Amino acid sequence: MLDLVGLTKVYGDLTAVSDLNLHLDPGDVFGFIGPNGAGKTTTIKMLATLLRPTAGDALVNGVSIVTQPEQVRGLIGYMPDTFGVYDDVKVWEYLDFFAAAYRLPRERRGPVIEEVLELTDLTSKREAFVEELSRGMKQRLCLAKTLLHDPPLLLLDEPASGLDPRARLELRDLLRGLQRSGKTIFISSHILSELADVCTKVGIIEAGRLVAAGTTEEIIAAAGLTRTLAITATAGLELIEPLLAGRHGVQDVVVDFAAHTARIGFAGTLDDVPDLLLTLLQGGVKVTGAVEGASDLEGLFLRLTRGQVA
Amino acid sequence: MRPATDALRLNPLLVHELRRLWRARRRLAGDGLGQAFVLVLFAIAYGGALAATAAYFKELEPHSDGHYFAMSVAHGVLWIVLALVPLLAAGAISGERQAGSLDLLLTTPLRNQTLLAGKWLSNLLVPLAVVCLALPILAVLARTPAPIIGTLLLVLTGLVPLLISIGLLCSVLLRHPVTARLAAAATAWVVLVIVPTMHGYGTGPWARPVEWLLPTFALQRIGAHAPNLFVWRIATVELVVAVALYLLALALFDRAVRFRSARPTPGDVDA
Repeated sequence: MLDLVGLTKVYGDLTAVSDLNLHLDPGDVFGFIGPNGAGKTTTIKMLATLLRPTAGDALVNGVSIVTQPEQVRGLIGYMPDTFGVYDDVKVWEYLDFFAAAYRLPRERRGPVIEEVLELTDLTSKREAFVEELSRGMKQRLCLAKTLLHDPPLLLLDEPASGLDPRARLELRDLLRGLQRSGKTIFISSHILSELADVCTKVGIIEAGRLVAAGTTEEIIAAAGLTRTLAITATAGLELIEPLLAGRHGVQDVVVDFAAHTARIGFAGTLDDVPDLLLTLLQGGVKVTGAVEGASDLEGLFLRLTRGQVA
Repeated sequence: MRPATDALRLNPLLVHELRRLWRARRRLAGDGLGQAFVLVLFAIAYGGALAATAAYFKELEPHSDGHYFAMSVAHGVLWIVLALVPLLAAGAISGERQAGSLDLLLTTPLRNQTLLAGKWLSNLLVPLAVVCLALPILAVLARTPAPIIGTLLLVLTGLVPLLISIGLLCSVLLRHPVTARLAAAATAWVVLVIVPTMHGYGTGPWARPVEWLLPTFALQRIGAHAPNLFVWRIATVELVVAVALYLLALALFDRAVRFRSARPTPGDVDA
C-alpha cells in the first residue's frame, strides 16, 4: 500500500528527513511519533506531494510521488495540522467544492457528501456555516473532505491537536471505523496517548531519522528493551522475589511494601505476562492489578529518543 | 491530452469563489454603507482635485455645460475601485496560504492553471460590476458623450485585467497577504498615479511607452475622446502585459507551490 524507499529531504545544510524506509499494508494505522521538529510534517508533506524529496521515493499503491504526483493525489486524503477551512461557506458547500475539485460527477456529489457527513457525524450541521462549528467539528469536516474521493491512504498530520477530550475520543472512534473499512492511515502526533489505542504500527522519528518502526512488540524485540510489569497486591508481596528468582527473562524486582506495589523488569513478549502472573497467583501473591509498561507508547518513545531535532 | 469536455468544465474554484462572494453579500452590504460614505467623500475630493488642477473633465467633456460634480464622483469611484482591484487580487493565493487552505487545494487533482484561472476570474467580478455601474452614471448623470464612454470602456478592458494580474503576481510572490497587498498597492500606485503624473511633465524618450501603458490620463493629453487607433493600441498593450504577467505568475506559482524545494517554512519542519 505505502512504501517509503530512502525518503530524504534536505534544506541547504539542514537534513529534515533522512533515509526513511517503511512498508505499510492495507488497513494499517501507522502512528508516526516524534518530538517537535523531528521531521513528521516534512515527511507527510512529501507523501502528500507538496514537497519534492531530495532523494528516495515513496510509492502509494505502486505509484511514485516523485514521477506521478498527479496520480498520487487521487489516492491520498490529506489533512494538514492547520486544517484550512473556509468560514464563509456552508458545510455542504465546502464539501461540494472539494468534491468538484476531486472531479466527482455532479450526480454523485450529493450522495457522497451525505455519506461522509454521516460518517463524521455532521449531518445535522449540513446547512450550518463553517464559522459556526466548534474546533472539533471543523476538524471532522476537514476529515470528511479527505474522504470524499474515497482514497485508500489517509495522511493525517496532528489530527487531535487542540481538541478537547471528548472530541479526541470521537476522533479515535472515527479512525477505528475508517480502519475497519480498509483504509490505510498514516497519522502523525506528538500526543502519544491519542495514538496508543488505534495504531497497529508505530514509527518513532527523531532528528529526521526513523529510530524504530513496526508493531510495539517488534520495536521492543528489535531494540532489546525490557518490559516493566507494575503489580499491585494486597498480600504476599514478600513472596514475589523468591517466586521469580531464577525465572528465565526476569531481570529485576523492586517491591514497595508501603505502596503495596512491585515493579518487575523482564525481557520477554506480551505472551509471557499471563504465565508470570499465574506463577505469582499460584504462589500466594494476592494480585489486584497489573499494568504492562513497556508497550506504553510514551515509555517506548522516551526510551528510544534523546530529544534531538532535525 | 485531456478530452474537450474537461476543458469546458466549469472551474470549481471559480464557482467556489463566487459562492463565497455571494455568501459575503450581507456582510459586504452592512460594512458597505459606512464604506460607501467614506468612498463617496474621497471620490468627491479626488475628483474635485482632478477637475480643479488639470481641467481633466473639460477635456474629456468639451461640450459639457458643467456636470463636474457627478462626473467627479463617478470618476473618483472608478479610480478608487481600480486601485482596490490589485489589493483584492493580492490576497488570492497569499490569503489561502495564510488560512492553511492552499495545501488542501494543492493536494486535489486541480491543476495549477485551473487554480490561478479561478482566482483571476473571480477577481474580475467586482470591478466588472463597478465599471458597469460607473459608466452609466457617467453617461446619464454627467452627460458624458458616448464616444468618451466607449474610450473609457476600452481602456478599462485592458486596465482591469492588468491590475488583477499585478495583484495575482504579488500574491504568488509574497507569502503574507499584507505584504502582497502592500506590494500590489505600490505597483498599482505607480501605474495609476505616479507615472501618469510624470508623463504630464516629462519629455524624455520614455514618454511614448509610458503613454502606451497608461491609459486615461494619457488620453486627455492627446485629446483622445473616441475609441481611435491610439486607444485600441493602449487597450491591446494593457491586455498583452496582463497576459504576460498572468503567465509569469503561473510559472512562479508552479515553481513555488508544487514541490517546493527552497528553505523550509515553519510548517515544513514541524516546529
